[in-house]
Amino acid sequence: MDDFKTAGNAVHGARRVWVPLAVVGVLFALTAVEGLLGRALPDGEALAAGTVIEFGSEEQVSAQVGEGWTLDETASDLGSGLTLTRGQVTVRLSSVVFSAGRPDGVREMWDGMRRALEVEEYAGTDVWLGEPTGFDTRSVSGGLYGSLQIGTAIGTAFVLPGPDGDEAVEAKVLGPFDADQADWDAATSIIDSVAFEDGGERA
Amino acid sequence: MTAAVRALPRRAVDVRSVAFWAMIAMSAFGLWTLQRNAVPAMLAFPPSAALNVAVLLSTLAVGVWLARRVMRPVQAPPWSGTWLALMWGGLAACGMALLMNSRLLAVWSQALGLEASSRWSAALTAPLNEETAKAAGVVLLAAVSTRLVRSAADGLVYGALVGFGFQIVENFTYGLNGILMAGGVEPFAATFQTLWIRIVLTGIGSHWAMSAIAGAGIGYLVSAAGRSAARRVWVAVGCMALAMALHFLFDSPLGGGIAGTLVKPLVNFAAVMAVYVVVRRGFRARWAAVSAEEVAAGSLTRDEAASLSRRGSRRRRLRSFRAGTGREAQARLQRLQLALLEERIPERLPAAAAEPWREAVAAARPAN
Repeated sequence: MDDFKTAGNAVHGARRVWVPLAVVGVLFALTAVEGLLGRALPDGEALAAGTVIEFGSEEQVSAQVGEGWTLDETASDLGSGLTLTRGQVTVRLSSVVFSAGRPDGVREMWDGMRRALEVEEYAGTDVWLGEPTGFDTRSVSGGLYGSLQIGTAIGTAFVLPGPDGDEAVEAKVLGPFDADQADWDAATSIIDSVAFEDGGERA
Repeated sequence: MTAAVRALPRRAVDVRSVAFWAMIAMSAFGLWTLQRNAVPAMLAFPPSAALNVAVLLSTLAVGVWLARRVMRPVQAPPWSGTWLALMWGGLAACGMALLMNSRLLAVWSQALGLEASSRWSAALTAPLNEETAKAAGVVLLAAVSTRLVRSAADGLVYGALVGFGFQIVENFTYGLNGILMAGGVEPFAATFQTLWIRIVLTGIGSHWAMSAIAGAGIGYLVSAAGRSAARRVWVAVGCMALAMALHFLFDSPLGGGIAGTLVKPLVNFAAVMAVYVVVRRGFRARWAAVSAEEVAAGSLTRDEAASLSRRGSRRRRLRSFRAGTGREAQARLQRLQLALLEERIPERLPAAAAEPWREAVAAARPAN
């Protein structure tokens, strides 16, 4: 089979027109098929009340959900964080390991979160983060929380420092202004359940 | 310049080709996709962005020099092909991969569940999407001009350049993502740490190595190397499968921990070196054969043929002529002789097809 003529390369003549079109077509077809597959599958998994999920780089953090929560699998990864929804309220729990430099206290963690939120601002979304207030949960002491608004969603941001100060959980609870109060309360319960391995239970 | 020299094709890249404009359009699309993610993070963390840009430019300079100096026997690929390959890898392939990966990662999360997808989704996604997007660049380069990819050696070096472009832009995006993974605390150190791991620890066997292997297969597929179509297809499929398998291993949780992080890139490096040795040997054997034929045809002397195949010996031969017009004439003759032998590399091309190059060599030879 002589498919080279005098070109020295098999992509000659009419092939130099249809081969590039086919290559670009394959790339867009692959993109489309992967998008359609995602749409054909369910977005989330309903969680039973009392389910405990361990996450983080070493799955060293746990959180427990109450009734009515759905795990958004497309926006969750056990290594980095979970996205949970109930009604119109969304809880995003992010495990942060300060491997590049240990922050000097929880206030620096909060300032880091504020700087990270600036990325959304530069992307064109209105972001407002209020001044933080201290709080403790069942398992975590010395946390900070403050008001948060991202776009039209309002809610609360939390920083829960780990026991050694080299890791933390950052949480964002967001929903519309008129979200059900029961959903906000259920979200607060998830935050209250966050615990670090070896973190112990406070009396 | 003589009429014989003016008659030769002068450009390696055909800017009127569909493939050229497909590469430009897809790269513009990739740049638009990438900037949507990168620019806000760069504006939020300017010192990290500056570090990222400095590292990107430094690695680009070192990597391009290495790829052009080492990866192709006899001489480097043309600059036009080099920039097109880097552009495709860094913009088109990286941008498309960003889009495709987000979709396929979501599919695995939904289909496999959180536990399995957290461990395996990267290994199941990147080999398919990223290797396909990068290999597409080598196929397009073969369609940009019939002179750009004419051997497995061409495919290997362009595959390496496409993969290298992909690797440095991916490093750039990871350098910014590393800040967010560290909660915005110590952003400069987070970027530095991410780049250190991705360049110093794993860079030796990352994207450039895997797409060099796939590229060698594509080069073999499209070259007129005197092999059957079935054999060329199987070699190309085998190289692509090997590149994907190495990428799967690279991203999989198999052999995790620090040892795995260090060993997996070395496995990839060993694989690409094995392919390189085979490709280089084949190219040099063909080069020696056509050199001997052209010596017999009178286009080259034995001394000229002996000096042409290596960069150092070409320089030494030129230095043996007195600086000035004599050396310049020899340099011009050497370039034409190289072009003649490159033209003879595809085995299925009839020897007579190189007659314009022989005439140009004869016309350029200084009178004794």
